[in-house]
Amino acid sequence: MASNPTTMTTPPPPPPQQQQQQSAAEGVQEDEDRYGGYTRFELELEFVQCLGNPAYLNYLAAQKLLDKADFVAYLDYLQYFTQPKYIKFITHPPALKALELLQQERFRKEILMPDVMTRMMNEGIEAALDNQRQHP
Amino acid sequence: MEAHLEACFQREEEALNALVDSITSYNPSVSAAQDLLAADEELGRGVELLAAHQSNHAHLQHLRATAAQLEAHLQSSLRLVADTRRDLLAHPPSKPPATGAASARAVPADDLLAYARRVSRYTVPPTFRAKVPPIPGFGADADADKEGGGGAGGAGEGDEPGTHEEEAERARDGAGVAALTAEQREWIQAVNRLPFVPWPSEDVMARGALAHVAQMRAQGRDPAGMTRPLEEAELEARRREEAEERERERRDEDERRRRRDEEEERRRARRGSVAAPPPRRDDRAQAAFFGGLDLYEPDEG
Repeated sequence: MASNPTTMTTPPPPPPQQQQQQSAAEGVQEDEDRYGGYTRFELELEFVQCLGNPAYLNYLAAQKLLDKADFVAYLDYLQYFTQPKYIKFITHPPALKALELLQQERFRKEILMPDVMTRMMNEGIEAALDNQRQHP
Repeated sequence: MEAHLEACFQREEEALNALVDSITSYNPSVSAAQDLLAADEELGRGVELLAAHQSNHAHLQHLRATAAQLEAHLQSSLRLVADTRRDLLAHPPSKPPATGAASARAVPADDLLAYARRVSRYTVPPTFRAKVPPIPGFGADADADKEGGGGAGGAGEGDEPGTHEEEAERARDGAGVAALTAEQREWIQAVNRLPFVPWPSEDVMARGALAHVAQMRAQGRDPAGMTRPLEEAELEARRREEAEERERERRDEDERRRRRDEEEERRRARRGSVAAPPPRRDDRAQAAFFGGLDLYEPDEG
């Protein structure tokens, strides 16, 4: 997604109004641009949620994407997902934490190391299971 | 009760005295002995009756005690309820804090329910029991083909269902699960034992929109050119396929009807009958009838 032509001046895409599936079934509003059949919001939402996977972060670091200023600016722009009207579409909460960590340069450097990635994965899984144990 | 027993004892004593007298006067009378026996039996019955009487008495007392106890319990409960009600009414109703922060965090109920429905698919399932051990160090071989594909760090599969753990599971499952067959239960447990991660795993990402777009780019198609939504494009394609198939069926239908007509002509020509051809109506009805049955077309194979 480094080739996504979004700059920091572009406003975030509007979130879908009601149930997205319903509007798609009835007939979509053609004023939205679609890339490969998907709206910009869908693609950015999917990307943000994939950031929750530490293995993916490690992959991005390995591809040297995290060193590019454009990509870092894009990650900064993606923080609009923390606003209430966007956050309700996030289904994987670790993604938000990962997004926050990615804003720090030290994290972007360290996630390249495999044991950092492993530790992050273990802690993430532990946290999810702990959460389930506390609130069954 | 006691009077009855007294009477029995009296009879017994009299009979005994009569017998003893008759024996001492060297005139044992059999009737006196028989009287004694009868009196003895009577006494025995009386004693049994006494035993039953005593046990009934004890039972009655026990029941009375239970009734008294329950009565006391009921009274104490009622007293407690009355006190609680009095306390509740005594406390003035408190107002919720009407600060700005509180109202900002108010969430409409519909949104909350919709979110819960969405999130439930990605939350740890309540039946999730397998203990996933910490992931060991991995060997990096990143999949460089797809942009959307991640690195090779899948969650480790660790499940050691000991026999006692399985039994505990079965005890925890409800009656509905018990009604399933062993095969279905095994399948459900296999699904539950899949490793759970709180983020989209590599295969989930590979099925997602980003991977799809990457595939399109790899195949040379231009994703920016697709302005129609994905589902609508697929529906279009499907509709076109169905229309083509219908067209094909109609063509086959016409072909069959034509061949049947030719057969009829040939048969009539062989028989040499100059009968008028059957009305078109029957033929069409026949064709409609036979057209639906593929079995009746030997020349079609």
